[in-house]
Amino acid sequence: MTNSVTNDQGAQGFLQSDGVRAFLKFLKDNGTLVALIVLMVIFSFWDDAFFTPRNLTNLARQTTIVGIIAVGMTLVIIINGIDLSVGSIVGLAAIVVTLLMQSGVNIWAAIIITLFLTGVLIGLWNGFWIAHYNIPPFIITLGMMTIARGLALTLSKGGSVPVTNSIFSEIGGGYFSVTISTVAILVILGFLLFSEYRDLKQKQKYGVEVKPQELITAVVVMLLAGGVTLYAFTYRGLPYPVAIFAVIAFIGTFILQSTKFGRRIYAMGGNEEAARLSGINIFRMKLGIYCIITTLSALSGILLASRLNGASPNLGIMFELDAISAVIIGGTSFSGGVGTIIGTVIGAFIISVLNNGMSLLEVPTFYQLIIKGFIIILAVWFDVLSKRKRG
Amino acid sequence: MLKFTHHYYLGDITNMAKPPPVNSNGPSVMARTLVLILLIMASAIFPSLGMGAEPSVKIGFLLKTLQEERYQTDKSQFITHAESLGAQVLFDSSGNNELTQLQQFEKMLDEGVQVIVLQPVNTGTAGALVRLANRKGVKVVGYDSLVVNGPLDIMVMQDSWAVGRLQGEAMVKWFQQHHGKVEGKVALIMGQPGDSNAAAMSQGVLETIQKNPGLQLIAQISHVDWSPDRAMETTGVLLLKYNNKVDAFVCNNSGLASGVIAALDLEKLADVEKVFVAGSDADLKNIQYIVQGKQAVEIWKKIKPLAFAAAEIAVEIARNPGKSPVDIGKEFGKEDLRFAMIDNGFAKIPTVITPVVLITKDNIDSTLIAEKVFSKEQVYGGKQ
Repeated sequence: MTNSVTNDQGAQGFLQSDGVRAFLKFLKDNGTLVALIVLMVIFSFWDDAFFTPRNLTNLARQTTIVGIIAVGMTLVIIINGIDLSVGSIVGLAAIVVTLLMQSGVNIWAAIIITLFLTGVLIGLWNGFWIAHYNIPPFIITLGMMTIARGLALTLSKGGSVPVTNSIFSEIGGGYFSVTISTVAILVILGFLLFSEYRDLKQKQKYGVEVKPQELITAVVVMLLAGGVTLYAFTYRGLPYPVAIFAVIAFIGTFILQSTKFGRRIYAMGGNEEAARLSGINIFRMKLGIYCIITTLSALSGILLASRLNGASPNLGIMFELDAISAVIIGGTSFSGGVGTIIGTVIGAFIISVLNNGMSLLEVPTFYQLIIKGFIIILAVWFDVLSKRKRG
Repeated sequence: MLKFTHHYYLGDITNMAKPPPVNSNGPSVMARTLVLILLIMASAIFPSLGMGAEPSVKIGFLLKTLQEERYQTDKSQFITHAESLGAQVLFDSSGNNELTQLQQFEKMLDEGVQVIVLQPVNTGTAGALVRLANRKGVKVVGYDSLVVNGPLDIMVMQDSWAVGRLQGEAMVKWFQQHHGKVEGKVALIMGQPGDSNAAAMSQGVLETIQKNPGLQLIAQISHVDWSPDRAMETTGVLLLKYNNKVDAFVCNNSGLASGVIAALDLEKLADVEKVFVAGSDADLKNIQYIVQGKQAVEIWKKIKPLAFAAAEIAVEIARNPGKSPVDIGKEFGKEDLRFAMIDNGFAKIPTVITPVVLITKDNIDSTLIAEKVFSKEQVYGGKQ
């Protein structure tokens, strides 16, 4: 694959096989992934404790809470929306679920009621105002941000709500055994590699151009991720919340890439008016998407309450910032229409690697905030630059 | 990017836009507004009417918020006590909004109060409010949070320094009992960076550590918003870094302590036999942790002495406008109240300091339950 470029300009395939260009293109296409790997390598050399199964397990667990919200946020930002209420929903859901259990409601019933009340209902409310009256989502969710926080404070009377149920604390704190985790990860890895192979076969069958660079990248990344995961979860196995996060991210990817609903989301983000004219029911779509994100936020709140063994009304403050950052760092465009869940997942990991690494290195809280802010700006700048080149 | 700048700004808006106090179920808004207008008109026309020859006094009580449960106690204790002393109390709370507080403060001045008891929203700028009052000959009693870098006539506050000191003393005792000597690694889990109360509480802990050379301070970390989940992450990282060999976590409040306990739980270390954890605020959850043997101690900040002392001082000042605040403060420095001159960066402020109580497994019944803060069922679980 070291052919020099001698063919005509249309030969994109050859251009890509040129070493340097291919590398640059790889950087451009996978900037966030490269950033994540570089960060992890730097922190690993800097502090021995970083690349240990125990820390990686902690890191994965820390990523899940914001990561789950960020999956929903990806959909919202792709359709050109925003949801600022997610952090407050986390706090409210945590309070509601713990209060329900305290008043003697069965744990599973409490979880379902909470998901419905603080997730589905509030999502419908947000979505209704945004979709029906065309009020900017910024305003509606800003309102909900303060309403939900106020509700959390009112319901809890400003105090913390304890939980004594040991099953509940398992949800956020428990693990699948190492054996089950290993088998699960190997099965998933096998499945992914197989689908990549099937994809390749199909492309060959229908004469679609195969880009070896992309294929190799994909396989290497899968093996790398699989390896790190296997190594990380030798600590105690796969934590339940991480498994939940993985399932949600997988469903999100599937929805965006392989369903009508997903294609409609991209269409709406690209051009809402055109999408409407092509017969997409914008109202129903928006209602659905805002429901998804608040329900995911409520789930996050429940997981957080479980991890902390109780709730206080100030949980989830600033989570909206972390979720939006994860989405933007992950390459989703703020002007809508472009974005992937896998990018968001990588973005979420970048944020928690930064948080975790900086606390390991004892970087003071203030500097951590400053560094995080610069990284967000950098990510957006990168987004703008790459768009300018495209256009 | 526009969205981001706005978003950052929102942090403050959330605080401002909290719902109105829940307990305003009196007459309708219309009626109250009318009465208010009449009152203002009356006070404008007859500035000193209604006080007459009686020694009746009018004092204002302005809290920064009613959001947290404890402030309901502050409010009711203060008002009941002041009224029993024959004072008329004008009460308001500012929803953590500095501007609202300024307006409420001005309104109280217009309504002719003789003393205002003020818990400032912004401890850094509240000096301006005090100047405003002093110009009209009204004295201001600082409440709970110290006004920094500004004037103040007299101050009533809880013993934040003692919080850290009591936590530190309990920690030293724990080391003696469990390790036989005062040697080990200590982490200080602090609250909001820059908060004057967090700083005062930490001060006491740091002094204890200095006095015991065997104690090694491995971390001193602030947590934005007093966030329990961030405290949990901090603890996870510390445990990793020191291979689970951290002996004590001293926290600025209960929420932070519960974050620490959650992280310790994952490593099966949430056990007073293994790790010492101290909190402060006596949240129900933490009291339950003490009963379960997961947490060692809590600090209970009693509201009643604070509210009572403030009410008594305010009435005293209103009755004797000529008496110096220092003398009044000194009179209160007896029994379990302490008097001190505290330097707030502007002047030495006469301060009456109310006590805080160390809560351990042994005194929960005689303190929190005896004074009906929590019921026995709440603490020990009624059903089991």
